[in-house]
Amino acid sequence: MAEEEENAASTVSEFPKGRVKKIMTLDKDVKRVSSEALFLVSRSTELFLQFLAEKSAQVAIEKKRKTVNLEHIRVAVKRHQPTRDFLLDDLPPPSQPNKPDKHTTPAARPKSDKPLPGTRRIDQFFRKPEPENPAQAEAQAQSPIPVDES
Amino acid sequence: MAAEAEELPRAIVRRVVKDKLSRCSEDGDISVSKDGLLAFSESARIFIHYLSATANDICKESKRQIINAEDVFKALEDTEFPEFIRPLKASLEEFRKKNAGKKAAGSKGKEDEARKKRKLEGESPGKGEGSNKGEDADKDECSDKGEGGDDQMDE
Repeated sequence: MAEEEENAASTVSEFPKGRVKKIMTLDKDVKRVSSEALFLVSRSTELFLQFLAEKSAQVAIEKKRKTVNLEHIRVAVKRHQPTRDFLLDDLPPPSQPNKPDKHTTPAARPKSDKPLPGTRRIDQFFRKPEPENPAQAEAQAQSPIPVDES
Repeated sequence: MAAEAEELPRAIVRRVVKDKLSRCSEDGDISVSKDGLLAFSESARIFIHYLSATANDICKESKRQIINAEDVFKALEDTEFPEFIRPLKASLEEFRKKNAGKKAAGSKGKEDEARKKRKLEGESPGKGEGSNKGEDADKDECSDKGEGGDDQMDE
């Protein structure tokens, strides 16, 4: 429990403020944010990462693996409704050619019409096509995108 | 320079994830693959977008211009991550205490600096920032002063 308190009372976030803000303001609607809000978004993201890491580790352990990989993360995402709602479509597809996810997706997402207050579909933010594999994702990440501001 | 700037620093994502993983197993020997790290990094980035967009909508509903702490807390409820709220409130308290100390030390100087910065960014200080008046603790718009040259703030 002690280490949770340590995490909870952290006054700094690991992530650099400027970077977090830059990511936030990629959405043109998001313009101004208080320093407290920026801090909270950073910390929330850390908490989310920790949460996802823990869930993914559980999956890996179940499968008797010592290394958490993409598939474990995917399963972890699928199992947690709130995370699945915004994240599942955006993870790289599995390396096998058939996509069993597609079949389960409609049934597994009864909340697709859920009226969160004005929340937009996350895929609006992403212009680049779904990469086939992480190597491509890396290559694509390096190509310039329209919002580039140098 | 390109899109690398819109990702979270990988080393930091790795550290956060690995720290947590080491606490997840009894032997502390769980690691993460390369594609796993990429997925964690992407997930975090998408989470930032998702949370920000939700908080932004909440902010706009209240007819304010600047996303504040309460907006983020409400967004966490709306996105169904209420379990984060309590630890975050504790963090926020510490954050406020820390900044209160700083403020007491140089409040006037900071106000002048903030005014100067706004002018540089092409805004006049009195430009309809009425939203600030009622939010004493949270009136600081993030100003990246202590960033150490990470990047510019463009609005």
